[in-house]
Amino acid sequence: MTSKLAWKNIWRNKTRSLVFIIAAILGFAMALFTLNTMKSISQQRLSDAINIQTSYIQIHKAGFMEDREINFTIPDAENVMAKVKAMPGIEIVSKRISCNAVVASPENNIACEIKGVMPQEENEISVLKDFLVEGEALNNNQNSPILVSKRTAERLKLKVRSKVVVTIKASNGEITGGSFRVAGIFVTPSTPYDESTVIARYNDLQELSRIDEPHELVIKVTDPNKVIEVQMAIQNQLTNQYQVNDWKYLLPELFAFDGFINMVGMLFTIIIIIGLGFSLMNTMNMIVQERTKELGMLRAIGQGKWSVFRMLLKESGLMTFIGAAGGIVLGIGFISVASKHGISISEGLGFLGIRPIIYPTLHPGLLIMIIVLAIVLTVIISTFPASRALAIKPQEALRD
Amino acid sequence: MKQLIKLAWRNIWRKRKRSVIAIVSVAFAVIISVSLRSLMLGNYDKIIEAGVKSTGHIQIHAVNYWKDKSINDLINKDGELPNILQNIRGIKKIMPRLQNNALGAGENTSKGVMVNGFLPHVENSFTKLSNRLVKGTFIRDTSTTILISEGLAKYLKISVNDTLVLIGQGYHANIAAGKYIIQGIVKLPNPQMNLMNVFMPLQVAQDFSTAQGLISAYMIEVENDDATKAIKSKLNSELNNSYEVMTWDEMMPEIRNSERIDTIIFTMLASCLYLIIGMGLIGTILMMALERRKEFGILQAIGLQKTQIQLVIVIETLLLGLVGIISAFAVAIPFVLYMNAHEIPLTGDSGKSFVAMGVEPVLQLGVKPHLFVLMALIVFSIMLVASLFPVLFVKRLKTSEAIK
Repeated sequence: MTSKLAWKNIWRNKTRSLVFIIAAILGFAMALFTLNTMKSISQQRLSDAINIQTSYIQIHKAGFMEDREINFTIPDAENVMAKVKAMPGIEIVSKRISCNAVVASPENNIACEIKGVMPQEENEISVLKDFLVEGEALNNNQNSPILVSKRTAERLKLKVRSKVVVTIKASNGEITGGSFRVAGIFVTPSTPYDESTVIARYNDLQELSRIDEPHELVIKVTDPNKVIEVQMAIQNQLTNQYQVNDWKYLLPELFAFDGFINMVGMLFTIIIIIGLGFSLMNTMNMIVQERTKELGMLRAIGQGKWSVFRMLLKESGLMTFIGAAGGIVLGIGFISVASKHGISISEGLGFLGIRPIIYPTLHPGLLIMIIVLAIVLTVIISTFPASRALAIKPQEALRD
Repeated sequence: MKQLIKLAWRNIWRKRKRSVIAIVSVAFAVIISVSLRSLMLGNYDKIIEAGVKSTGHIQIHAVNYWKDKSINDLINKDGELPNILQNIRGIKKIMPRLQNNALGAGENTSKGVMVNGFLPHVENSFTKLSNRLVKGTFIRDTSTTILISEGLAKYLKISVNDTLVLIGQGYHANIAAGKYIIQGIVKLPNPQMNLMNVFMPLQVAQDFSTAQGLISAYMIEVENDDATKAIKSKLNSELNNSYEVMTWDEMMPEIRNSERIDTIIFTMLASCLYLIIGMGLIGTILMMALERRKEFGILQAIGLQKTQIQLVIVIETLLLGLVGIISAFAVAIPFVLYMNAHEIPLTGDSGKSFVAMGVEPVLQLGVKPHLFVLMALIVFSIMLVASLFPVLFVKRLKTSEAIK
């Protein structure tokens, strides 16, 4: 009964209601679009970093992450790998050597991290091969191959098949060097990764660094949503001298950035809804003022004061609902257009790992957040003017 | 006119609650957008300041040096260049630098480092590197000892009086190698830089890289920041094309790029906000006029011109905006000034993401007068648009019908 009345009331003053509804539609649509775009940027950075660099879970010797000492290798690695492989939820496990090096060509030299990887397993774990712009991925037939980024290749003036000398500090403390041939050149979305990483074969690097065991076991899980469970299960299988971490630990900045984006998104939504709240408050105020007499009459003919209050809340709720629903439809429309054509954001954000063109997708979590915030704020905001109706005394309101 | 303003002022307070909400909504939008933008711009001021301290306002290199930073693309420290630079007005100081990459090794660990050769007594008054000393003492031009950054010291587990071994490649493919005693440790604000820098006297660096008399850059401090571009083009015309002249924002394009993305985010948020607040205001002011249909009719009947009524409405609307802006400024100006004087350190996740972007994790608002002007202009334009509807309404109003 009150709902029907509320609906009819909205259309008594079409101009006023429409102005509010249009504001709400535009507000919700833009909020939804902006938030999803930002979230998509953050998600793209994360998934690129996981797929190219860290994968989902890594095992190190406890203390390696802090000190990165060349001798902090994983004890009994083969056994650990076999154990992990036998566990459920694991897609593939591979080993890596990781140490700091200077890579030099006759032209120039750079300091970076060199990773020694198992060619076959690595190609299943990392999508780096998809980012090769020249040459080919590592395989077992090449002669001391190395992958460098385009950026590094330019700085060292390298081409595919060029020779470079890699200098590292071996496990016995000696500084030692070995020569490698460029097999492929890659460009990933992340400039810092490109500038600081070269990749060689596990066996070649093992020979050079004279270590017996790997520094890092990299694990790809079958279900990314169950990373924490798998990580816990692995840690339970192993003693304390092994440290098992998921990507949140391995990529702390990106994980933190994702949290930061969530916070910004929440703030953004609250600001927009408060802005809308002012309009809503004014509209409701006018309604109560204009209809004092009418509300008094309703009370006089036997409506309870809470039923009048409910009717007013429903009226503002309905208006916001129409605005929000329209806004969400419009916002999703924006997003789907943008996801087809892409939004070109500024070039040169590679230093943050952000791709130059972003294809936003709809994140249901954000949609729910917007809806919940909208409901909570609408109720709070419209309670003030509506509560004035509670104070209406029928006999006074009807007097003049 | 005075009469009309008085009338408009009184009209505003006839519906006190409604006007207060309208004013508060304007103030809200202005306060939020001014604070947010001040925060962003304040942060960029810090980033730029730190950036310029590390690169100087302008650098001169051998042509194409910056792209590859090759140790083979060097310029002569003495010779024609210093003379030319000394004769250009607006240059405060020139500072020679020799940069090279190397592998730095401590007891058990090693790490890629950037070796910076510089003249401590010349550069220090500009970069204020000695203020960043956290341990040990500062080096002199003639020292044979070095400074390393704090993060690097921690990583390599070495400290003052320990030895750092550096290995790399010198000029013309010579092997660069040396052992150096650490005299001091400096903490650099940029966390990435803090992990990888070694500072040594220019002569020592030239010996290390076998680059006698050569430098990779002349760093230039200008007297007045705004003259940077002008001095660059002057340099370009004076120097032949074996040199490249770059300003700080050309050397660090990421600063401008991330500023641009922040501007986009801010513009989106601010336009959302003003759009919504603006619609609310339009609605409110339109209602104000519609309600007063009869009143307008009577005013006309007693002899007021339509233009006078319209003027009252416009004044009313603008006054509403003005009061909103004044109350917003009354809150925002002290707030921004206070937050400019007191920076907030950021901790936790958001702090980490700042660090990851190479930014010191503190929040400090910048004082930007143009921002206040811009916001005031936006509010006035919204108010003008809002007053358009009632003005049109009055124009179409027929006295005889209105007073019925």
